[in-house]
Amino acid sequence: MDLLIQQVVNGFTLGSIYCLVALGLTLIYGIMEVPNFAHGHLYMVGGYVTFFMMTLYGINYWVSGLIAGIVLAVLGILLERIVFNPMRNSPSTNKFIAAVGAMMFIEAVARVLWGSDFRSIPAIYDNVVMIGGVRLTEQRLIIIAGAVILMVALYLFLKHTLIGSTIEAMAQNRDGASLVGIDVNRVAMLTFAVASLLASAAASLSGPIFLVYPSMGALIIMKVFVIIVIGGMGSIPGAVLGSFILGMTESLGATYISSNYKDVIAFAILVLILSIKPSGLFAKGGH
Amino acid sequence: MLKLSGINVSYGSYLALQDVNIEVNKGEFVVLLGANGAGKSTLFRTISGLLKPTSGSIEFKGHKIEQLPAFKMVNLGISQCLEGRALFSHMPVKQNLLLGGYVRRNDKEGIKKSLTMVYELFPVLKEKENDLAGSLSGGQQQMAAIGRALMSDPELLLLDEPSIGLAPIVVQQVFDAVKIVNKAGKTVLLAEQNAHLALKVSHRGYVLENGRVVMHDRSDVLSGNEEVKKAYIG
Repeated sequence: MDLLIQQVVNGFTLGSIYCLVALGLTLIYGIMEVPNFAHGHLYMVGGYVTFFMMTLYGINYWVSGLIAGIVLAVLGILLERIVFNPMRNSPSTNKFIAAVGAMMFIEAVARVLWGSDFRSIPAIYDNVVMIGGVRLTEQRLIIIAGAVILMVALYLFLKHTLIGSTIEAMAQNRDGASLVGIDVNRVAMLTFAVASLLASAAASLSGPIFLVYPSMGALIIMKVFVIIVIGGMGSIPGAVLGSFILGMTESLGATYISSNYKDVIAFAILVLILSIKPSGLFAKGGH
Repeated sequence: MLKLSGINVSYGSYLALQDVNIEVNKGEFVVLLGANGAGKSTLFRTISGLLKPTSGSIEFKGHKIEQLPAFKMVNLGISQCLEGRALFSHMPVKQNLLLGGYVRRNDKEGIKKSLTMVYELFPVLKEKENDLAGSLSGGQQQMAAIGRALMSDPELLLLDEPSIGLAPIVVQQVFDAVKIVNKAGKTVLLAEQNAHLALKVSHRGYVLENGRVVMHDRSDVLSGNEEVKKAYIG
């Protein structure tokens, strides 16, 4: 029983990380209608920035995470300006290729600058706490709490501020957004900034438990891509639910089936859900 | 107030608009008549900056605007309702209206006043303010779209076929509302296929055929014109 509860908590931890990355990916998809394949790589860079802030400059964990978030928001805006904005009126295939190119470029730069070694963000919250007879490390609880806080903040931003709602407005009707005076360029930059910040936060939170390495972006983008397909492309509730479904099945599957199959499970779920509901759990009405 | 001179618009090699000259004066209610495919929507999308003309100029209050991006038009005082309404269908009605006031977002008082005005014009929107825009009936969606366009407190309101797909009684309601808006001082340019009602409420009309203006006159003269009667009133 304790093992089960522990694995459920681990599932929530994984789901929280996926969720922060998936939300950004789905937001960007909503406004561009093309997945930003480089999104996982922004997550990776966020991990490195946090790592170097702490180890090279001895900056506090939380401040390092904050700096990484700001750096990544700027990087996200640059990515939008340099890669995606010039492609705005191109066919989707071109945007796909641009996104894949950006992804390979970022990973290559990371390898040149920082090498291929696995690194670990110094763990400062590695105490074990007992909750109801279950042993949990503090960092796992911090990941879950951090993700929940960020999700609530994102929800409030999108639903209860006018600036935030321009992101959804543009996703729902681009012409309508232009006609009420919303600057499509500004919204695109804002969306990339918010999405990159969330990805960076995911990496800062998970860094002390999982490791930081150049191909971590490629691994998570596959998973997160599965999540937003499961959830329905562009759907926010779908991304949240999909993340926790995947996190939970991976965690339980690794324990009760075999940890060798951990990464296969994601794709098995994808096949299963899409065969029952081909447009995803929360498909949006056609554009 | 709005002056289109020699506007040409083409989709590839297809000329959708040819040498269109239209003038709308302050406070007027002008209707643009034309059958399906005559170029009405193209013309509207060109005025609002969603399309760029291949040649010709558009002046609004003396400024050339034909090269401006769509989102800047609202700041100048032009607000448009597209055919198909272009609402944010997964958002509540009220949020749609508030986004309509996006360009004056710092003018809290003004937005409040406009919202009250829109709710007075279309009381049903007040009742449905928390419903998703996509869940409204066609007529209510059209009202929401007009309401959203009014939230920016525009000087010129462009309405592209608001009557499309609506029951006659709802069309009457919508037109009455537009008439009220016009009386309150807003200049209106309306595109319509349904000439009968449109000519009744408007001051002047232009007739568009195959991308060209073939006739323009006072509305009462147009409604007496045999050709117009045959083609658009039936």
